[in-house]
Amino acid sequence: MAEILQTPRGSCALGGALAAVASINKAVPILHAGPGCGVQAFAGQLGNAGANRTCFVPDSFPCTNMSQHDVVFGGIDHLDEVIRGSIELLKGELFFVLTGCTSDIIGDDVENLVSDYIQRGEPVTFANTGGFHGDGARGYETVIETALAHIAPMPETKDECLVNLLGIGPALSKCWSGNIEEIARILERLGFRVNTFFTRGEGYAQLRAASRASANIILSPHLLAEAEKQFESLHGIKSFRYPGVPAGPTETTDFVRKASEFLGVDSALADRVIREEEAYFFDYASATAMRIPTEKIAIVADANTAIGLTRFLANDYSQQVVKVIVTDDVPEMIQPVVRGRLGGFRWLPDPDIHFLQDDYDIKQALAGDEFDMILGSSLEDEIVVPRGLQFQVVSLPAGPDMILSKAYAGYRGGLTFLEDFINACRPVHIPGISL
Amino acid sequence: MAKPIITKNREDYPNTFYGGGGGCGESLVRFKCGCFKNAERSFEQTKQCVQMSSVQVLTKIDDALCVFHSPIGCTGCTSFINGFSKLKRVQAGKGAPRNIPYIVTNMDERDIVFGGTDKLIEAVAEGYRRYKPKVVFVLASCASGIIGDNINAAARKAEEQIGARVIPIHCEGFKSQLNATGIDAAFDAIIGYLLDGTKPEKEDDLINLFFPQSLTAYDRLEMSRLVELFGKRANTVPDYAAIDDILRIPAASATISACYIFADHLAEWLEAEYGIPYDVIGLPIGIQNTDRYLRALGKLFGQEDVAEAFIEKEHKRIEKPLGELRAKLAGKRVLTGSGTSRSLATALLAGDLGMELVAIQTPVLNGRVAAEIEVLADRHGAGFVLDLSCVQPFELANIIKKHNVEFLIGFNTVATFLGVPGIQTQGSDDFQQMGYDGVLNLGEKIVRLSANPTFQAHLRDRGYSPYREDWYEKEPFSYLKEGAI
Repeated sequence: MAEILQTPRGSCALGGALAAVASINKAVPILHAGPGCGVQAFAGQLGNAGANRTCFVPDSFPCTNMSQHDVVFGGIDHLDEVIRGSIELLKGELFFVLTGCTSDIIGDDVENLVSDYIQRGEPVTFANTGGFHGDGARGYETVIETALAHIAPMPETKDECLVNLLGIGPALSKCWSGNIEEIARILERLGFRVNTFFTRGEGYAQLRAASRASANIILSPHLLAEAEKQFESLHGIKSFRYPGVPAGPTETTDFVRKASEFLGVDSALADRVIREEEAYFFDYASATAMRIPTEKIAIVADANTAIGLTRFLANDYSQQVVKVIVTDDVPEMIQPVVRGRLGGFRWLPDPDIHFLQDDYDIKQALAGDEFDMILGSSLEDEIVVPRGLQFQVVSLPAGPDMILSKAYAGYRGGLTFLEDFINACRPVHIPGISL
Repeated sequence: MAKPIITKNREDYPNTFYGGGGGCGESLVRFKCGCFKNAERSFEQTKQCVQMSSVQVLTKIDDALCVFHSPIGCTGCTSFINGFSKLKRVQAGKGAPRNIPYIVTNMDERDIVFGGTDKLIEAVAEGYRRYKPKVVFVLASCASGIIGDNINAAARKAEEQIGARVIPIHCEGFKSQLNATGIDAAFDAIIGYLLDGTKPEKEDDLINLFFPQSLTAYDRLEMSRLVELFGKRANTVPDYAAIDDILRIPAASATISACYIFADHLAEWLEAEYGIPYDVIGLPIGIQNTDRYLRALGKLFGQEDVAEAFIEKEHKRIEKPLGELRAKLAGKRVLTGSGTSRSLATALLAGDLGMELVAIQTPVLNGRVAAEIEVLADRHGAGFVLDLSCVQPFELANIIKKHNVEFLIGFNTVATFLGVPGIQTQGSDDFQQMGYDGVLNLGEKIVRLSANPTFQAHLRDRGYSPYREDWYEKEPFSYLKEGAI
């Protein structure tokens, strides 16, 4: 049973699905949901992730705005009108119907309606994403599963040079799009073309091509378990799962070596890429020699971000991470994997690790004074200010800052993170001057 | 405990409409003769729901706790509002940043089948243990409403358990076509559960100021300052009010509701129950509405002369800078939109700045709004377009192109993608928009935003607007089903 939650750090299944569909180029999300769902779901997920996708329909998604009348009599006829209107009005290439709680509970037969459109050759699909099905990550998984089942055709041939990059869901973490692009850039250096689906103007064509890929790279300890099976059974595509989004040279190099082995990349090529990328990182990073921070750090973030940043700071940058709070819903079975990734360092003792989603519990776990910097979400500012701690936002909700293409992942993203991290470590109190 | 309160929907009041569009003159004629027909849209874009409006009132009360009986997605707006609200609270001098505390029952598939009231009671009890709030508001959702969870009974049980007020709010999203119903649901609950029957000691120098949440911290200061001109104090509700401030509402000697659909019913109730005189005016944006605010204060306090003297002085003070702004903006074709009072007030402001009103989008048409539109027609002529909707950007896109709109005041993205500059007036917490200085501030921003629309032109030329070209050949109200003008 899903437990009661104070101040959730993301939206529901609809919010995650909306963020995903809105990030597919020329895809139109059509909500068969209540009148507030579009704004609530947008605000709770994309809005809290720096609102960094233009979205094809930026300020207002087509929606049936289900009323009392629809609850009693069903809302399928109006959905039909809204789909028809969307196709008439909008320059979309894919029309993706997402249902909300109301439609899912009253049992509107969306599948039947959508199949009529499909029979007429219209690019329409749908997914059941009522909020009670789960959180934003569940919505992202649902969109991927739907794309595999309904959009990607049975491939005639495989494309050996094509891989799918998955696991970093739209608006499920800060810098998600920049992170995808940086990992894709590295994979491209290894000789692949990469389907990212949600960045670089990719859209319907890449979703259709998903089934032609030679392999999946899934960056997450726990997401997309169902899709992984689906890829294998439907399309014979195997997945390489790497738990955590790699950030910084040691972790990214580890990722490159393991992925190269899985994908059969020539080791000389991998070695060359690693050599060049690491040199690029350290040539810049060496300039920080005089300003290496000495803070003891607590990290509050989703598993992917927490793993990447903890390993980066521990393995590459002489930092002491003393506490890690993982805030997304990692199933108990997978938690040992995440724990393993958050410890076992050469110099650093294992940090104190928690899996917590409730904001009150998170704040209780942060009550101690064993750290003097928080890398967390904007919700942590209420404890940072009175306690005079250093602070950098690395997770959701990201607050009012605009976040566009920046990345924390990989070699180059590692440098961007260092910039933000070091710039955040400034004296808060200058004697005699109140800031 | 009072009996459960089910708020009447805004659209169920006589002569109240929420869907339509056409020429302003024709619309007014039809409205006056009682033959205006509400029109649903066959195609529509996402609106706002009742719960979002309830939240805008209830999460602003400082020592209360909101418990959402819903899946987590229904807290999206609250989560987003939290970011801004924290800043505004600091600006209002309420101390260090603090997140709005709220708890959600996180309804899942199991709760949908078996019901979730046990979890709701647990959530209230846990929230009380954590924060000891004076009042807990329990907010219904579409999901809890459809499966029939009895939140009234759950609230009563929880109240017995914790010994503090637990108030159910019936703000199911599907309940009403007008999200303003959610404001009523919140205030009806405040009346029914907190105020009814209370007899606080009269405070002769106190006035209730009811302002919607779009009031910025700077606006709040200015509106209170204007009250002090008359030697009175303002009880600004609900902006960071404590429960004690809420309980003090009936102690006031007068009430102003600065929005046609916000707390107007509460103001009426206060007059009926306590004999407190009131006025319902528009947001004090623009010269005319600021004058009106001052005159309303003057009348309520019996100090008309103070108001008139101040108005005259202020008009003189801003005459020169306003003249300079008018010279720069003269004849600029403008579309205003947003919420009811804001869209109407900014249309008047456009007139102050010498701009030409081409169209207005506004969510509600009722007697008060019609009177306001008549004022606009006197000012701008009756030739402008009236779009009666809770923001449908596809219609605005059509109007912008068809009527060569040069500036948009409201939610500006739709205009930006068509190459037209605009200003987002709601959620702009960094400057004063109300009062006389607000006129100059907004005017200066509009001048600056119009001065160099290069980015807008780039987006237009690169096809960022999502609408097909042939949409602009059709009429903006082609998707109205019936009753279209």
